[in-house]
Amino acid sequence: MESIISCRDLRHGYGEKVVLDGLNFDVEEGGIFGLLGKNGAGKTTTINILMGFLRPLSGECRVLGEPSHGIRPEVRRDIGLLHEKFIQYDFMSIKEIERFHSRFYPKWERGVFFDLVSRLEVSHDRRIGRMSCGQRSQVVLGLIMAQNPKLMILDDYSMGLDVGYRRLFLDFLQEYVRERGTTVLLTSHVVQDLDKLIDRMIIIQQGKVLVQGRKDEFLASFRQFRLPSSEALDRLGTGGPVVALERERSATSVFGYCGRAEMAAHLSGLGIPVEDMAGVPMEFEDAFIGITGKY
Amino acid sequence: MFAALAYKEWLKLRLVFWVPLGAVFVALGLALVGFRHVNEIIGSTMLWYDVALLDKVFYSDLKYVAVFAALWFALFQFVPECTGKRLRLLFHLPVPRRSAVYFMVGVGMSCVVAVCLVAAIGVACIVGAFMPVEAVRTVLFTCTPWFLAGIPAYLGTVLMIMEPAWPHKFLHGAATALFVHELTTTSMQGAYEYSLPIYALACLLWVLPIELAAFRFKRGGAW
Repeated sequence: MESIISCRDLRHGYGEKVVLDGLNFDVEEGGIFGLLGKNGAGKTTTINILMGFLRPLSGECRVLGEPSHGIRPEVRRDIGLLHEKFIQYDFMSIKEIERFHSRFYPKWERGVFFDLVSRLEVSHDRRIGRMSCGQRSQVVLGLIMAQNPKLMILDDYSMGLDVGYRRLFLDFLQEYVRERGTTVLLTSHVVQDLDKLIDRMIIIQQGKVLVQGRKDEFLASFRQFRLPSSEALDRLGTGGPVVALERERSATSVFGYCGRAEMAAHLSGLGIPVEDMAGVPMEFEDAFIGITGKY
Repeated sequence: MFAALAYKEWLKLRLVFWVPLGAVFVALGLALVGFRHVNEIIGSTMLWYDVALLDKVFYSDLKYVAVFAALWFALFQFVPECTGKRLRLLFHLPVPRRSAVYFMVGVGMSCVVAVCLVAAIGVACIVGAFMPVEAVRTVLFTCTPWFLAGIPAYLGTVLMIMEPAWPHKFLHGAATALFVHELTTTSMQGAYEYSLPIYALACLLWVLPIELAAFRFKRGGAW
């Protein structure tokens, strides 16, 4: 499958803080791709580099075959970009902002924009600056959809949205992507919404890739086992099949890409009693926290 | 595409364009009152004496209208464009970055020039009603540096708004303030008559940094 986005050995930092440390990933055509990570993991930095708003210290990103720092205007027509916090021209009304954007995009679909915006039940003469964050999110999504792009990049689409507007946003997005086969790259810190939304993902932490691939494969292979605390368990670190650990007062959760038998054999070999070891079913959010840690 | 960019600028300026123009009319009104006061109450001989021998300037209220118009237009154009990193919206539009930025600057400069033209025509008509054409010429030479100050004032304000780094903002602001002060420092008639071309060329120094500020903004302000 053709890569719509390709990042190779991306490195960036602010002062002495390393944000991206040799990041490599590809986004293939079609479907919804999640760029996930905890706050400060480097998601927005990656998006900024992808859109040419930041020059990486080293490495290269290509978007629709163009180097990210020099995407030609004709190619930008095919990229719908949702900027963080839904920024738009606050001085324009709904009508004016549609009229303004429509002139730039040959495949503009006015009906798509007004179909979405009309559901807000606000006057089309209402200024963007006088709308709530939720209402603004629908206007911005409407603008991106009407543009009819090949690629949508949605940077932290959930920021400032309550659960109702988040659901509305995602319902529209999913339907649109299913109908048109648009490729979407999104970031969000609200992971529970993404379970039903994304097909493929990359989870980054401290600028490095923790997980990359299909979300369902990750969920099928990543397991959590819970063991009562013991002295031997307290000495356990990551390594072998143990990918992550979460210690609580009376129990410890061990995470890994293996079945119960393999994990039990590894832990027994380290002298850890495994008689009370139990598998714990995980939702996507649990798996995300398991691999990235709570802190 | 440039029609769409022009539409955006029109949306920002349509309501506020008239304010600097109003300031020009107020300044012209005061100049007219000054001329009429001396001419009709004190006498035309005294008007000649004031203008020709004492170098008295009855239109000094026009001194800052171009600078005011420049600040006004730059603020109303670029504050909504740059706050909250909104300039990224412009840079993501499918138009060449440089063309888009200079188009906006061109629109703002045209507004400043339009205000200055109205002021120049107005003051020429007022002076022409009381004095011969040689006096009109001198008045226009006296006003030109004041109007010229509108160029660095506009571009300097744009630079200060657009520039992402505070030290750069400060440098642009300081350089602009000094140059604008230099152009508006005297009301002496025809004081800059022979140095105007040099000052006009110096104004062009403010054009190139616009591209650099836009570039620095796009690249996150570090280079």
